Amino acid sequence: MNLFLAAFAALGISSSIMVIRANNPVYSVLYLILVFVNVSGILILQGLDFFAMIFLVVYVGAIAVLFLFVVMMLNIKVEEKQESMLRYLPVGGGIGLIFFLEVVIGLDKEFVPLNLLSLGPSYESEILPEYLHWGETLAQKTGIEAIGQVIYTYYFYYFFMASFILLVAMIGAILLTLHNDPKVKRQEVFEQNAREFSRTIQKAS
Amino acid sequence: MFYLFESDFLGLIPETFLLLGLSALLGYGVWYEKGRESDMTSHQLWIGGLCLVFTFILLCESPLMNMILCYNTLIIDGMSAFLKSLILISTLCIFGLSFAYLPQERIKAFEFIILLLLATLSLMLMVSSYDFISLYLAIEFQSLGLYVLAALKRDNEYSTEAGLKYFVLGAFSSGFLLFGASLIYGLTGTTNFEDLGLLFTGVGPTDLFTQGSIVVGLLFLSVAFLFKVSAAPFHMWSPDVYEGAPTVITAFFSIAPKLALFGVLIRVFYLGFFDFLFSWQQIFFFCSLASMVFGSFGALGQVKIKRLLAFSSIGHVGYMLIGLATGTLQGLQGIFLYLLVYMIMTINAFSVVLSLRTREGEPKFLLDLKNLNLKSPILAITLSITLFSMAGIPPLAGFLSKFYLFFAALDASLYSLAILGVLSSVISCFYYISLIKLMYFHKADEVELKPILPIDSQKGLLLGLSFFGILFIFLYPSPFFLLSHAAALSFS
Repeated sequence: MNLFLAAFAALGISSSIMVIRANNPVYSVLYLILVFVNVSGILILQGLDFFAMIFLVVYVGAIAVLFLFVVMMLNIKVEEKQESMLRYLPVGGGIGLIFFLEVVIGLDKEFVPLNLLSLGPSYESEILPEYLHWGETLAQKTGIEAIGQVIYTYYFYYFFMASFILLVAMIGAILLTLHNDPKVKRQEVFEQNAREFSRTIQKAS
Repeated sequence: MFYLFESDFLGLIPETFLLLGLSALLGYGVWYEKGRESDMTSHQLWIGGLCLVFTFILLCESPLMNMILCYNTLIIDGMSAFLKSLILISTLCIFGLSFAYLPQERIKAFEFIILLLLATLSLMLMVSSYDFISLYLAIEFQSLGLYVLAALKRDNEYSTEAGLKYFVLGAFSSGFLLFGASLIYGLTGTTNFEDLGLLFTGVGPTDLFTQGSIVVGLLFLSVAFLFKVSAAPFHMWSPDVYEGAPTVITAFFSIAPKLALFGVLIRVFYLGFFDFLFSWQQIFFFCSLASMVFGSFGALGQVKIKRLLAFSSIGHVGYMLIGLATGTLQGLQGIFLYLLVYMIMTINAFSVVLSLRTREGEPKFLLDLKNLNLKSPILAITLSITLFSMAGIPPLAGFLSKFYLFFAALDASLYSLAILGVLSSVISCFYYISLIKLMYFHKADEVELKPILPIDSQKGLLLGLSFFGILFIFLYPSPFFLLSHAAALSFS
């Protein structure tokens, strides 16, 4: 488990460094996708299966692909790397150090000793009293099952509302982009299918 | 056999009816023959209006007055019934204004009507939402529709700018709302308003830690809502959006979302966080002050009609926030009364603006009002009475509502708000009266007066009804007092 965590975290961090260091913007976006995949791996390790899947579907499936399209369409040249990174080091490094210290201090002081699961099942603390986790003795459901059971019954209203939002988004997108102008060229499926190869290509004499 | 939500759907009959009606209209619009869209928008307006009337009747005749629906996500009470009926009436009036506007502006898209109906539905659900998640979903539902409506005239740069600006800033304020709600959820573990209210009973001023962390969440929440109602420090988007959007949509923006958002504000702060009254009172105190001042001073420099109306609505929001800052039932009643009167006045003002259309197009500048008295004396007198009412001159409806709010503020010992409110309404008198001067006491130019187009019957009806309301509410105000009192009593 810990090995997986280390692997995902190391890959995630190194590919996120590559996002900002890659020469080609397309490579950057591809590395970004790799970051998302690794992060969703970490989420699965935490037991957040539904969240991990949503992360993959939304970020990789929709947003990163959109990024990729935009980057490809914008025709950005491979940027020149004359300027050195040292110029940004004082400010960026300072902010990074502050964040690092915050995380280290926060982890050390608060969360790690309380999180018994991370220390293994055989750990017995002298300071912390031991609890019987009643939740674990019950039959457990995975996250997706639990969300499904709640969202289709008690909270069906939220599900409905999400669908209405999608309906409005659909109508709005059609209204704002569809041009009913006769000058706009459209695909004529029938004409395409009825076209004959021999008549289409003509030899200019 | 007992089902989970057996009686809940009975409480949701008006909304369900509206949803089914608009789905049928959507189907009709898709099915209808291409090339005859301009006929169809007229059919759709009639049927959509009928839908709204039926929804209104269902709402008024509903036997379920107080109910919590759908597993603590929605609530029906006096306030929701009052505000929902106002929202339905205002949408109906917008439909009335659209009959002539759509063909004049060559808007053929029937989705206009569908989106307005969807926005109405979402506003109704917003008023009765009882939980942060349902509230957020309703707000998103509403604002997505309104973004599209603001950018409806996509060939017009102003309209596109309005849509884009509204979208970016609306998304920004939704982010604030989510952040505040998640802070409060992280601290308390609940998103339900009543649970929050019960949890905070008595902890307000005592526990410093709880108060400190809740107040941060409250600050984010109130900033998000104040953004959406365009109260003063967060009002920058509203003149641009109001100017750019098609005029009918501007009228809708300045009435219906405000009705619903004030309902939401009252529900969140009076039901969920009433024990933190002294924390949020200051926020609303400040914003109310700022909105009144910015609304009246900002309007002085405007040269375009719609921008002026936007600033005037910012000022009105400031007056309504007085009622929220009082923290009393009297203040709530004042808000409800003000919302009613504000709705009538705004509908009247926008129908006058829409009636001023000449053959060249819509009037944009205030100077187009010049010598209105010679062109159409009836319109001139209607507009001037409405402006007097907006300024709060005594025998008119606007005076009644302002008077009530100022007295509520005095009873809650918010003397500075009441005094500054009176002062800023004096300043607002200045620019309203300058408009009246422009209409009446201006030398007739040698340039010939452009005749205004004939007014269609729906707009005429609206003009007459709202003018009648503005003139005579003051004579017999007790039904409106009773209605607003009944709405306010749901928070006693």
